[in-house]
Amino acid sequence: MTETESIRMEGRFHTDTVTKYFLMGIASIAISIVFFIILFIFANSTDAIRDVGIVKLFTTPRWAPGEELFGTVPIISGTLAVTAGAMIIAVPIGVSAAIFISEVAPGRFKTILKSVSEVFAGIPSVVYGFFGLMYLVPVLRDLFPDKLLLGSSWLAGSILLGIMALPTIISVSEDALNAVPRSYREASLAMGATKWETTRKVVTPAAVSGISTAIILGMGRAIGETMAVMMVCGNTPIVPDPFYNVFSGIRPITASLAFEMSYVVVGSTYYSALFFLALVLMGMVLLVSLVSKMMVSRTRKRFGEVKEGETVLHKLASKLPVSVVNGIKNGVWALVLFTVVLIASKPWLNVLGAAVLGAAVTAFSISVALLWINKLEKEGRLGADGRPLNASEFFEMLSTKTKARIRRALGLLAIVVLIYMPVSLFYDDVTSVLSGIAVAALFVVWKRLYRKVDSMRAQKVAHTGLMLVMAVTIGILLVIIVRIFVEGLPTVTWEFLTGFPEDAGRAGGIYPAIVGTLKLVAGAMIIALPLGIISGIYLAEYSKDTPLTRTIRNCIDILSGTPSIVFGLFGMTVFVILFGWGYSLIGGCITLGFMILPVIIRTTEEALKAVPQELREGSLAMGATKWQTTVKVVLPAAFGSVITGIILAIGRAAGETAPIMFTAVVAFQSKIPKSIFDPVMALPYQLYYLSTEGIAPPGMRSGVAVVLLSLVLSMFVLASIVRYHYNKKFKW
Amino acid sequence: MENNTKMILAVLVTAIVCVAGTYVAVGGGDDSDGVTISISGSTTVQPLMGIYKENYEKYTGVTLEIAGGGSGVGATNAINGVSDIGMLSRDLKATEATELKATIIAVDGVAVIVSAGTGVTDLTSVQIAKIFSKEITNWSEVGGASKAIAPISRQDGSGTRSCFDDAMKAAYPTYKVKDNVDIKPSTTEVIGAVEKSDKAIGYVSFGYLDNLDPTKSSAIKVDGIEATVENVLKDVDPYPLSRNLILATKGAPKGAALVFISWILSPEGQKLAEDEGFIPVKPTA
Repeated sequence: MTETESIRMEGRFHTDTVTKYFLMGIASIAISIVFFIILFIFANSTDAIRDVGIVKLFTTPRWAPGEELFGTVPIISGTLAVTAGAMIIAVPIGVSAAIFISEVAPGRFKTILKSVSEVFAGIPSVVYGFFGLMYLVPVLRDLFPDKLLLGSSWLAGSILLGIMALPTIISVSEDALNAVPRSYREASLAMGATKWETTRKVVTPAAVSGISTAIILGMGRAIGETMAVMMVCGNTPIVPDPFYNVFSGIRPITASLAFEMSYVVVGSTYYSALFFLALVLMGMVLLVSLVSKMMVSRTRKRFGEVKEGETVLHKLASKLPVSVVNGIKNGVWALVLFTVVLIASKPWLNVLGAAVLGAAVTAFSISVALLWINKLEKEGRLGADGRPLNASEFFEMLSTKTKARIRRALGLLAIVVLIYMPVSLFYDDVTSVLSGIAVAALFVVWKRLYRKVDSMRAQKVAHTGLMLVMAVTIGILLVIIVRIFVEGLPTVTWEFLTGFPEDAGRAGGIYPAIVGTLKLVAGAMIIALPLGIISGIYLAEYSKDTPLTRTIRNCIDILSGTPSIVFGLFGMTVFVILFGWGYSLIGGCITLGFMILPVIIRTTEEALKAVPQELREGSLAMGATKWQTTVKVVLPAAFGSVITGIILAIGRAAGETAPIMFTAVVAFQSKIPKSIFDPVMALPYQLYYLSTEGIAPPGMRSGVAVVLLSLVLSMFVLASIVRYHYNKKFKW
Repeated sequence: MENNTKMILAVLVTAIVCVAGTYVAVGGGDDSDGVTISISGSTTVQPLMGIYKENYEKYTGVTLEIAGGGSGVGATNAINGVSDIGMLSRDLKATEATELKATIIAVDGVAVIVSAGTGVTDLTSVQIAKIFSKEITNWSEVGGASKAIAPISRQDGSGTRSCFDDAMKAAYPTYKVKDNVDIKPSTTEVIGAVEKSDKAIGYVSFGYLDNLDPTKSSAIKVDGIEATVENVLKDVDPYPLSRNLILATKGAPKGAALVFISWILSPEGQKLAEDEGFIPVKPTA
């Protein structure tokens, strides 16, 4: 190598290193955003922790700010209840739809069905809420006139949230099913199994971790939803009684935050207690993201992608002595058993009685297990591993037959309980238990009969069933969109689009809201695009598996799981109060920008990663620097996917209400404001305002909904067109 | 080069987005740059303020920025200087009164409304208090149809709620809104819920009574007194549920805020309040 060449090489090395550190710096911004969000939420909740006390916050049975009672249990239980309900609705439908798309639907339908389910994801929360308030709630009230006085209830919230969680569950489950190696299917089919048998017994079990991840992610979405639940849940801060009373009103954390924040005096204990609720919400979201991480690493292990998937928990466990780990495991099992018995017996006993019964059952089960182990040990029948030390080892030790029996018994018990709960809301206990048993018996009979059914016929029935589920799913989407358009379209005239609001928003147009939304989105993009694309480039092209990179990735995950209302509160405390900007366009833009940042980072990263390695190698081999390769080769090749992702992010930003309602928006404007420190009107907030606060004729509200939906849906159409063209052009 | 064209395209698109965005964000368009008064707070006062905004901006170069929030937010924003004026539909609390100066711009009554089909047109304060405390749960107990009562309340901290609570507590000392009473975030939602039901009871500002659909809901007499402006103003046996609507400023109002508030108290401003269903505190035009 000549001297000049070596200098050139060095220079090239330096530029690349500098670039790398610059990119790393930008990517690390995600860490500081997460840090500041948690810091501000925590700092604002310290007053409540100090004045009320952490114990009282969790043990006071009521949330009654007027009486200075800040018990978070009813609110937290609201979030748990509405999420659990949503999952019961969304999981069977979503997983079936995913199976249909992945295993049954013919090739060209797959893409169409996938994009349709994406449209679900794109409908703004406030539009779902509007739909729920206008159509779902009255329907439920008329269906159950004796149970629902007003219609707004846990049930209404869960149905809406279930619909909203569907797209996440469908798309992630579908990916998991697709990831099952082809060889599994081929082996099963080669052995004479039908397609349906293969799906049921090979593909789905192989994808079960991925499907669990999908469910967990769907849960994350449901926990964080704000506008929709707030509009239909009744907002009563109570624990449903009995705990499965879906007709009860509830008030999830997000709803509490969104509408109580309007009434509090900043700096009061009440204000701080709300931030404490936000902190709890963040904790729940973090837990969900941790669990989903563990699931993902398991899935990878399963298909041999990763040799030893280590999670934080595993690492922690390996550091502790074995006896402590076993103690914790057994403790958790005992606690679960205790809680189940406690909750199950609550309708008949008082709390003390239920607790005593729970303790007794737990103690009884532990002693039975211990006695059994002792007996086996005496008879010398313990396996090679010796004495089981924790509950799962104990279960593993049992013979296959016993295990199957226990599973079957638990399954039947679950059926009885699941049938009992809803039936007992209408009829007395005896009838409910009997109907539970009847259904369990039917189930057993059906299982027996099923074995005799010709497997081709079974397949036909199953596939038809799956198709029906898919049809219903699409039907729901159509109903939502069509109803809103039918009612709102007549209002949408040229004057409506270009006029200013009159008579305090009761008449006139929504021009300032349209302009405001465009400004908010443009501003959010100005903030999120450079940061997001550069971070994405860093993660895809430059990062190695270092602690810093892992932290960045984790923070991006946390950001993308952070509920939009938490971004709203963060924006409010920082831009409105701390910086003293008041409600301002720029405050809203920054808040929205932070919210869509993780979407842009992810999209960019994934798009870049999809570019084949050969392109990079070719470029590098020709003497290009890494940066040149990235900018001139990789980025252009990934251009289509990046743009598609950005367009989808624009759609999402345009529809968000919670992040801007406390930072940027006002309900009336008679001029288009000039300064970025002025507040703006915005379509999603206007829809919320008109359907909850302003008094507008129904046509006005639906008109706003139509404009908002059209804006968001046109983004989807645009994204699909870009994707289509791009896919045609580049084929590796 | 295919890639180069793509790249140029990318740069162009980004540039256009950025330029357009900046232009829009910094705001091409309107060019009036006058004084701006920012106002936020009570959702009861908000629609009235919207009317004021339309009329006031026509004659002056002043821009009014009106945001909602609620009475508590109005007071806080005025204290922190986030807003020039805070709107409240309740009197200032002691802690707020140390920093804020209140100007009463109108008086508002709170009407108790029931769904059509409840068969009730007149309730005593005590009966209403018992209904919201869930001590009376069926309309037949107060002379109506035999069906369950669905009470609808507002959130603690709402000005309407605090007016309602004060009156109920005065009539029935153990009055306490039960936790399982539905809570609606705004007056419109209360009206919507009452009108969609046939067994509901709620309470709303007089300013909203014009918006009731008489076939679906109506305001009832409280203690035999009809919910009208005249009855609130009566010296003997006045209508029991009323409160002041307040504009709060940090210290005495000055500058543009003073001019605006004076205009609200002028006969013209008071007439607009009266038209919206509120009770003027000064002579009207």
